[in-house]
Amino acid sequence: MRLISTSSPRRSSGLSRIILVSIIVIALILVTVLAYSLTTLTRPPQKLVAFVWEDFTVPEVVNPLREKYPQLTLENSIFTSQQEMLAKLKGGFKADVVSPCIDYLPTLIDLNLLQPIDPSRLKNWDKLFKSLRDYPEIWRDGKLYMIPTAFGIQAGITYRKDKISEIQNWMDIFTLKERRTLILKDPRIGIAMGAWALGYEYPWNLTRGDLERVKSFYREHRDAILKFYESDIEGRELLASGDAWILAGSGPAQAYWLRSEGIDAEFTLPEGRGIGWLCGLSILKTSNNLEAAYTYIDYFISEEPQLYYANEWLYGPSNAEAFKKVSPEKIIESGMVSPEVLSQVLPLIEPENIDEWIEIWEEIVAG
Amino acid sequence: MNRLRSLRWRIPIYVLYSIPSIVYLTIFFYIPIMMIIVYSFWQGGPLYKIVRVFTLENYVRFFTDELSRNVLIWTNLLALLIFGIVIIIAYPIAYFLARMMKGETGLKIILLILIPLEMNYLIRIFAWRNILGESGLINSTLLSLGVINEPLTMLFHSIYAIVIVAIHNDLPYAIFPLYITLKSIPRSLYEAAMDLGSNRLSVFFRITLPLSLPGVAIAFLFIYIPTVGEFAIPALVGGKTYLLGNLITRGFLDIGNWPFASAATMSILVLTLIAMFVVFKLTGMRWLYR
Repeated sequence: MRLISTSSPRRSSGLSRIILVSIIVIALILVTVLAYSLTTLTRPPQKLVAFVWEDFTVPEVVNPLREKYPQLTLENSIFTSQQEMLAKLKGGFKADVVSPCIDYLPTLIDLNLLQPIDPSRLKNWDKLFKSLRDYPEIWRDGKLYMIPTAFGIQAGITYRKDKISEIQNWMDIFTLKERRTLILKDPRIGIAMGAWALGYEYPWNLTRGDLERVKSFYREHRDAILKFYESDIEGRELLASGDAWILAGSGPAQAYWLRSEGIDAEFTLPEGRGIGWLCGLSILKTSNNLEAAYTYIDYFISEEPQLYYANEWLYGPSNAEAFKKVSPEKIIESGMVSPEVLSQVLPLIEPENIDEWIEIWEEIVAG
Repeated sequence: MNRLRSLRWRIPIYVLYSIPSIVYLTIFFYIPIMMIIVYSFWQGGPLYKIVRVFTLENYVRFFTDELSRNVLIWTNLLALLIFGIVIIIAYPIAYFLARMMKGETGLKIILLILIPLEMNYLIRIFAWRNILGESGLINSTLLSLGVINEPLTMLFHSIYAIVIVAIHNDLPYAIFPLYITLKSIPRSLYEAAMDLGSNRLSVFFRITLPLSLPGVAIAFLFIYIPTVGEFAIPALVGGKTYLLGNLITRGFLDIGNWPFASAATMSILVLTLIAMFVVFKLTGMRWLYR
């Protein structure tokens, strides 16, 4: 009898402890989840979540912003590609502003993720180049959806002059005997470059048959391709290391950076064909702090940050005053263009049969 | 009150112990897996087009589409090749450390072999880029010795680079389990076999090899399965090589066809589970799947 009466309480107390520990663990998880939810719900009114490219978060630009607007609590969330940005937004990510480029803007509008912007609330709106303010793709049904912050040229060729003497046409990059060509892993730019090499003038209206032709062309010339690269930094690193000699799908800034590292590099737009890019800031439907969103956007199109991006990142500034302050030497060396050039090259858009483009490109990349 | 007490006593102790881990796994593992399963049965298209209507189309496409079928076959062949090479290299090392080294020396060397795994995985891959590149260590050495006149282009951004880097990465995962199994074979078995007239070769093939197969099976688990889903090595050193991991990553992040990428993920999961089952059965590790 004694044995039974002594062992039962011990077992009971041990069990109670285990139950208690389990309850504490579960309670901790629940409290953490609850605390996070409460933090999200009760954030200060001037808190702004910016879902942007990494270049919008550099201290050289963000610190002056914080000093200028101390009431603004900025929280940056970075994306590294527009696909990633779209995936996160579709997955329910909530932010106030986003930094799309012109090619993904229609998709964001179609998905009802953006809200129209009132340009009269931006002090620096009138300082932007008129051609950029009137750029058709940033407007839909008379409503403005993106404020341009930067522009430039892409889909050109950067090559090492110490390895290749000259590139005259698009076919040259595919006929190299050595496996040294890098192709940007973007279906639109990749296919456009293949189409130009085949002699097509305007690639955005390629039919299924044309796309199949581009695919066959890539397969025939696959031996010249070292890899399909993901980002400018990766491409530049491979060119600098000497593993690759040609960077197809790049902008002029790559050659500038390579030259500054002592590498003899050159940028060219064979046959004058290239693609223009235009990026900016938009306000998301999920924004619950419009005042802060407008403050943020207005700051990024003001002169100081615009000049910083022009000098340090070699982006074409959308602010005309900032463009005037960039030294002529810098403009020549970096290959920076005026916004008028955007109308001379192809705009980066989404073709109507983009599904077919993506399907064909996947087959090209997979080989 | 009595009913409550009797109910409490009926809950086995191991169930209570497992509650925290069950909660953790449910939130961070089972729910995401369930979501992937659900996605895989929805209709989808590029650029995040998702229609919440049941379909088997994604699975049918994964197994019948020429591209994904070829990538599936090619990736599996490559994973098997890498696993085979790793075992061929790792087995003699593990054998030497387990059978030839005295005392704890073998274990100490094993620990030295495991140290590089503490380094970040991506940094290790990037380090190989510098070793295999045009002006990397290998090409520079061979050029300076006059062995070659031109840099060996096959070494960088190619399938060979994937094999080299994967072998380096996977080797510790094979040596360690092989060492454990070889070390655990009782010496008395060898002595008995020798007493009964077996020579060294016969002892190896009739005792050592069969008894070390569980180590091979564990190495298979550690090497083959991650290699099938590997995407970082092909992306960083593989040039234009395109494997299953890249197909899935692109499906989720670049193309935005989540249902198809989810179906591909689930298909690989099932296929690797089947492969694991077969290997464990062949190597006599029945207790693992019982």
